[in-house]
Amino acid sequence: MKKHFFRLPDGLAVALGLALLLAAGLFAAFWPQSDFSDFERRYLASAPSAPSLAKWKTDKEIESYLSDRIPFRRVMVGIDATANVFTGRRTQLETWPVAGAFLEKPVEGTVEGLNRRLTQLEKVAQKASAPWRLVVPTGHGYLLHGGMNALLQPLYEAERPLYDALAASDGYVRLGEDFNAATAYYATDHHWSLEGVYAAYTAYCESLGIAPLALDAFEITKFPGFYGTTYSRSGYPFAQADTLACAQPVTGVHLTILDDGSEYDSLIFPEHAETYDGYAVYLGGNHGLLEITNENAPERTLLVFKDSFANSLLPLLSAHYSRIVAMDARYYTGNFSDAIAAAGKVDQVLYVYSLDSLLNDTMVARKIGR
Amino acid sequence: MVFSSFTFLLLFMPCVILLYWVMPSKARMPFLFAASLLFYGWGNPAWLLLLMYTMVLNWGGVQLMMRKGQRNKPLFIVLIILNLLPLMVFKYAGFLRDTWNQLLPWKLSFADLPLPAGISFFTFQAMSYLFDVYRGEAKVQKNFFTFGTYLALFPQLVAGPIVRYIDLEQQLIDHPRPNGEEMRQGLQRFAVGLGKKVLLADAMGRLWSQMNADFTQAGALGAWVGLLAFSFQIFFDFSGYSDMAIGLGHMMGFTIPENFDRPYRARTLTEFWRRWHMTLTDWFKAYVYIPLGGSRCSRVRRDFNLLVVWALTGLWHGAGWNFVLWGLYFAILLMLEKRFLLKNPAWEKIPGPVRQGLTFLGVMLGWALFSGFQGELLVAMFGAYGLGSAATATTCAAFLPLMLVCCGISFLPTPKRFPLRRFAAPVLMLLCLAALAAQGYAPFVYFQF
Repeated sequence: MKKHFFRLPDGLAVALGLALLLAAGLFAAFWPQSDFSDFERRYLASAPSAPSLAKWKTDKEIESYLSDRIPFRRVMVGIDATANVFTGRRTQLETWPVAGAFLEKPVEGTVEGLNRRLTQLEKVAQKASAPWRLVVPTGHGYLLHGGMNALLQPLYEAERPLYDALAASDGYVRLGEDFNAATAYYATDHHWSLEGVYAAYTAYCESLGIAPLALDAFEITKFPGFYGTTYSRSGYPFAQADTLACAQPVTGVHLTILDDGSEYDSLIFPEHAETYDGYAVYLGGNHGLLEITNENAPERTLLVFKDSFANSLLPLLSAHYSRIVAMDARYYTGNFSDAIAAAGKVDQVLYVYSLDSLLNDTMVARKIGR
Repeated sequence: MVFSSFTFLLLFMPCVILLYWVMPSKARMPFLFAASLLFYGWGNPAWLLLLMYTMVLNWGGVQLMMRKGQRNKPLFIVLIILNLLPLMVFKYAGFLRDTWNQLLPWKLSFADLPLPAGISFFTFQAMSYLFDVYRGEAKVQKNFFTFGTYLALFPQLVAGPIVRYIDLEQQLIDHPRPNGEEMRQGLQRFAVGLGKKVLLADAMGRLWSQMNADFTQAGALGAWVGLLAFSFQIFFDFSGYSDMAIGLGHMMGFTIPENFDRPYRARTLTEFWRRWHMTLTDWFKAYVYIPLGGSRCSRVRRDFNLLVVWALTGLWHGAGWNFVLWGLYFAILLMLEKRFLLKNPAWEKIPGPVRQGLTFLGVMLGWALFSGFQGELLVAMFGAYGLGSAATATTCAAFLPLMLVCCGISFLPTPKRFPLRRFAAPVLMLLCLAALAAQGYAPFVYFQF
């Protein structure tokens, strides 16, 4: 006869199971918790409002509230993501755990759409009466796709016509061999690593005939234990932390956030390293309009239209420009023309956008044509 | 409220079942009645009025109909009409308006009303009581709470199984209290049903949606895989709900009839319909097909009866001509099967798995009709848009392991012994809660019927 060392009576086991579910429900409903989830980088659903309670329009609000506050939510999301990965559905996650990194999905867009945007970039540069360059970090998935399996490979391969169209543009800065899949990106974040941004900086300088500085000419600060956005968006829990490495000129830089007038004597903000948004160590995060000055740099002005990729590039470029004005369309209330007016006379225009931002960012699309 | 929601899983279900267990016998039915009303009115309390209408109509109407022990036929007919009235107003008015406007020059114009959850289910349950009493198969229920609990019993209120009154009558009177074995079996069955819904049906639904979004991209591969996914979605969604309903019933001591018996293992369409949504098939058989004369009549009359029953079955599933066609598609196939196949010894000589596959193919093509008039799906299935894009292949490959699980459960015999069976329920519950936490809330497909 089979021997059970310990076995609860059936009824008691079921009652305990139900009591456990109820305890989880009561915890989610009534235990005070933070309204912001560092892990998911979003505000959690709030409790049903009085008007909706009065109208009994509460079922979905209560459901979202409980779902966001269920005990061990992070573990739960991790279990689900792991189940997805182990049953072959990694591509159903928001970002894809592939080859030790967390990749964004392939960029969607057409060559026609990209060419339209490139024409717009040229017109903006004409308004600023300055030559222009465009830096687009070659996507992490695209760099890796040659080593992917036969099913994933064609998805990233489909980006090739877009990169070919970029390469045909006069202003496009070709990234060299130093910008490669092994080192150019953080594994847990969609942004480029210090090696990646330095390769882009070098390529940009060389495209303009400027001699790039060696990396050890900059002050390097490192912050271990960095888990980026692609990691948290996937929900998949198994990953090694990255080390954020930041470079800036050793002396002479000054940062002004023109949105609110705040001023700083550093381009690196170590206090952000321990927060959920570790990438905000660069420039303190994203801002609509900012100005960087460097008293030790040659007397010239650079106007940058950018997304967050530029946050780590601008500190390197500040070694070559006494003044950099940078506009991020996602946070700036004005349009591109307003930024040109705010910058005054400029010597060079630089666009720094990921391929996805360039093609699909609605704020860029809305503000560039005005 | 839906079963696959945190509100139900973490608050309503444990509260109601734990309280039901400790409640004195006499208080159980009123408690269950109140809990069922809360369950139904949670999303939209206005729908309670409709449920109460059906409840009062049949509770009071049947007593009037059977006053002095005599059956009042005119009142019986009036009660049938009044039962069907909400269905006509909420479910079929828009369909009739559209059909009218397409056929006739005089245009009707009125807005669609929202469809109350489970209206077809509880209307049919109420009518089964009316029919059973009229036919002398059940006694008049004078206790309002007992009748109300029958109609509103939350496990099967919004998505079945359709429990005939005579199947539940005695249990409602006995105020059942489950023993430990029933409680364990109930929770296990519930967990299996929740797993079918959350882990399989929802995933298959996502695959179907991705293929369904653009058949020109999906191509032949995406169209066939998508349709297969839809076939699994609808099966696991609906049978999962039935499992949960049966499991919840068990946990409270009720025996709710089975609704599915591995239908995709059927080797003929006749067998399929004996295994699929059995309570609906029984309902139509008992209250429509047999009163029309059933099969004990001429061949022409029998075929007519079949066409009527299947057209109604289609209409029950949805207010649209595609649903009617879906019903008639099965009616015609069943007639052909009865006439040419079942009595043909050559059919019996075909290996069982091949017959099973052919039957499933017939059912799957039926689901293509069920999913709507999608010309693009049909032409994509036959290669008009090529084999499919790379993205389609990737998506299909991603779902392959889960698809194989669905195939295994659907097509293979159920193993007699499950190793580690005792741990299945907690593991499934954990996986489902994890999936729900990650995905948010996903309503059941069958709520729209």
